[in-house]
Amino acid sequence: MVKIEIKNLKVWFPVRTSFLKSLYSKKHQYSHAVDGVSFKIKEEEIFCLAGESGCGKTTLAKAMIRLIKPTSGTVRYSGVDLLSIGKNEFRSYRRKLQIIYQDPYSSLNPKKNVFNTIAEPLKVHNFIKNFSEGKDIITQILEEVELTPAESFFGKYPHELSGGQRQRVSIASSLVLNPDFIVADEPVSMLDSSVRTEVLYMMLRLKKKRKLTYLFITHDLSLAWLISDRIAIMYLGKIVEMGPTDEVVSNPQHPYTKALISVIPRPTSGVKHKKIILKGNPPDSMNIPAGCRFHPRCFEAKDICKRAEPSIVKFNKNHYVACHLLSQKRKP
Amino acid sequence: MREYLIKRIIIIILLIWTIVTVNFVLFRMIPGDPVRLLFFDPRITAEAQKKLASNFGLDKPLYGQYFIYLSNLVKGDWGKSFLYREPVLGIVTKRLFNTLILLVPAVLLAVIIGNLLGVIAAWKRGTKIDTSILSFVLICWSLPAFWLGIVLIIVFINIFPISGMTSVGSEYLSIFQQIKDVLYHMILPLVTESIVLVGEYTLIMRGTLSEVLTEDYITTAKSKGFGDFYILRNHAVPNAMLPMITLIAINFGLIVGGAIQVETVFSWPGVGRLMYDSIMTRDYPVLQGTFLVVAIAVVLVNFMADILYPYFDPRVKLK
Repeated sequence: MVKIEIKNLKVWFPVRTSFLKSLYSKKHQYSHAVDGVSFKIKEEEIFCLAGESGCGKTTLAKAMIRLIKPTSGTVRYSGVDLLSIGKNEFRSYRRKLQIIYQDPYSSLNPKKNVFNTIAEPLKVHNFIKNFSEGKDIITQILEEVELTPAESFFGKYPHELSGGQRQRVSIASSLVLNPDFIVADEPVSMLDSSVRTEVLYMMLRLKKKRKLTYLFITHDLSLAWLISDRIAIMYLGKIVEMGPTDEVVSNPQHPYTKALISVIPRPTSGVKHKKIILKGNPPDSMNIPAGCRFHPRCFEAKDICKRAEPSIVKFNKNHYVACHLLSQKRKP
Repeated sequence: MREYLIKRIIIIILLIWTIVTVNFVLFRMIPGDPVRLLFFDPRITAEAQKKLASNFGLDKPLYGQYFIYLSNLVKGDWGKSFLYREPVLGIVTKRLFNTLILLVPAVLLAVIIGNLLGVIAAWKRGTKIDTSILSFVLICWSLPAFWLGIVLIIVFINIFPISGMTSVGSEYLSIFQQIKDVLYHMILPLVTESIVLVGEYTLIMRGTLSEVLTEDYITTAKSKGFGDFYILRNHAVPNAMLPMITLIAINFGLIVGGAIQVETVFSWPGVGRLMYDSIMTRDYPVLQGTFLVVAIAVVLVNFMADILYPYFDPRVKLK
């Protein structure tokens, strides 16, 4: 069963020009944060979205759950087109689609204590009538995210908690609405490495228990490799390679993926891996290079890469790649 | 908490004592002979002058005068006005009352309207609504109070009273009639002061709130399905209130000093006007008294703001 499906999703942000410029030029400039992305996530799957910072991962995820209005494209959740339904109708889907943020220091309101942070969504969605009613639910959810004894956390404010505890509260306040699709936006990258695995494994346990579907955003490929079923590699607002994680990691086809995977730290086994170090920075999303958007940094770029943009094609079962070299290799 | 209060009160006493001392020294440093200022008659004999000086304790050394000043202050004897020949404390309290009548509503009005405009501007940031609010308050903020006052007088001269607190020579049948008359006289100075003050509050609110609105916890609230207005009221504005409280505290301290410009233009008998008049007539005891009242008010209001802080932000703890 497909849980969520997006088709040709685009998010363009208008770029503010100076007042003078806007006088003589009517043309709007856009930043192409997400530039035509399609994929499906199956029920109870962990789908990983990986890529450099600024490649549009977070924007894509936010657009999928309607926190940002996409420029075009469709998002289907359990068959329902989320973008075409009205605001009020969407409210009932809202609680099914939740997000966990990267930075637990800014994602919690500093003026609300743990109890109110978790009880508030319940109250707004009319699960409980007043705050005292939610005590049992909140105790249970705090125990689920391993903050025990739960009562001792009720009155705590975010500034009195550690980073790991904050992230657990943040997860609890998302899960309390019983969602089934969770966007996890680098949920452990700001945590200490000692807490990181604990929170990660807790999230995996919660997934099994509550039958969740995760969209996991990360820039850390080794983490993606560890937990995800499928992975999509993003570069400058487009997916360059997508497939089952094991296959993509063991048999990368796109030069960008190859470069990323070559630098994953591995325990030394005597075999020396050749590291591919990419030169330069990704171009900014306002001036996307013509042709393949990766060609200025590509170590295998050919003439055709400068002229035409490659479309994403099937490499083999479930493994998709957007690269000209691939089709050239296969043609003869 | 109790420890904190005791510590703070000791600091406040020390602070006020410092202010009193500076106030004393400041006026001893002003050139000129107080006796000559008091009695302008050139025919006064040297002997009479000496007698007057000893009456005021002016023949004593400086530290002696200082202790007389301190003990008199504590006893409530703040000296006598040169001009009105009345005790300073009485004059200053009466004027302070008049000032508060005018400025407390003016500041409240400015705070309410300013915060409202600031919230709207921040919420609609980048739209035409924001631009118009911004240009409006920037114009308000750059208007000089005396100029605005004069313009309002010219425009409304036939509609509203333009000077004083009450109608000249009026007798009231009841207290309500008197209040009505004062309120009527208050309209123009109140509007002037509010317009001048509103810009600051709007800009501060707009600035803090638009910063708060970019925080992750606002997006978190959105993703939980809370409505826009709910988020604004329960998540954004409470977090943007802290700088506002500081600003209100500072301004409340300052208004005790009176709005010199507005009070002068509209002949409102408040502290600001008193200060202006005392400077013009070299009425040093009154000037000294007003300075002291203003300084103490600033200290006390800031103390109150500090105590209120933890109620607005759980991260602040009094230690």
